[in-house]
Amino acid sequence: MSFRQSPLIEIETPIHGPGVAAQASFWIQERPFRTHINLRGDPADAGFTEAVAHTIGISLPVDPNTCASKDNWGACWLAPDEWLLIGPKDQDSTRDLGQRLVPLHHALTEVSGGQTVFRVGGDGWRDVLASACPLDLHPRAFRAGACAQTVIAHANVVLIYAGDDPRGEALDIVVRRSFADHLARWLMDAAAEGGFEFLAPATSS
Amino acid sequence: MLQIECPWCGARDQQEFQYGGEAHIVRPESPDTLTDEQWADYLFNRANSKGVHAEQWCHTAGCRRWFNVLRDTVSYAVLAVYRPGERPSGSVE
Repeated sequence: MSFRQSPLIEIETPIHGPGVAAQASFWIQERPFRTHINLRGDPADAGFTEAVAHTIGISLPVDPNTCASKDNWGACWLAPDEWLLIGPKDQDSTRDLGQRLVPLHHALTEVSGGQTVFRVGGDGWRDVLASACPLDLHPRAFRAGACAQTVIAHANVVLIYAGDDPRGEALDIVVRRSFADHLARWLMDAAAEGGFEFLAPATSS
Repeated sequence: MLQIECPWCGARDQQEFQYGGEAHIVRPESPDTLTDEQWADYLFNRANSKGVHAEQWCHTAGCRRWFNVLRDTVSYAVLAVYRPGERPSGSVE
């Protein structure tokens, strides 16, 4: 049994931050304690890609800055030989995948404790992020199936388009836990004019 | 700020990149046989050209790959980007 604490422990949610017209065009919610795996290997090695597909049901995306998802698991392209896999918390998948990959050339690193995910959405999310993110977030450039590594307010992040959110168009921001508090407070500040809702952390998976 | 076209990720802002100095500098095969002047030349002397300059960049906040950029040091225009081990296309030397 391990004791885990969200990096946002000092931010008491929910926070209601009405904008100048008492609206809220942005919402943010942490998705804590998910399983994060950094995986490196040769995408031309059929054994390697099959081991991943067999464990989490996803064939690794090989096109730069794309992601794939299935059944609560997501795989993001990070580099030509590197991916970020994010899945439900408390999964045995890391061990299963590791065992399958043992005979193959690879590097599998469990990074769950080092980073967390914010899900953001609302009508104004692209504008809020654009105020400190150099990436082109226009819908024609950043759309369904896209992911990208970039910086927001000096913090390195992975942005993942979340097409499956019932609340509408949304984005997952993967950030190092040591930057999480800074980024959360920065996002609240950036969204203050248009209003925001900082929701309590997601409890399911 | 420059817009630099990462060979993998596409056009990104300069703040995602780190500069890595002049490109295509080859480490001498057998440093033991060099004179101090030759070794110092390898270590320290750079072309410092005015005009077209081949340089290394790393997409540190992105895919973390190194690559080469041909850049005009007068106009700051990025003329070409190419992967390690490749040579720029076209006639620019």
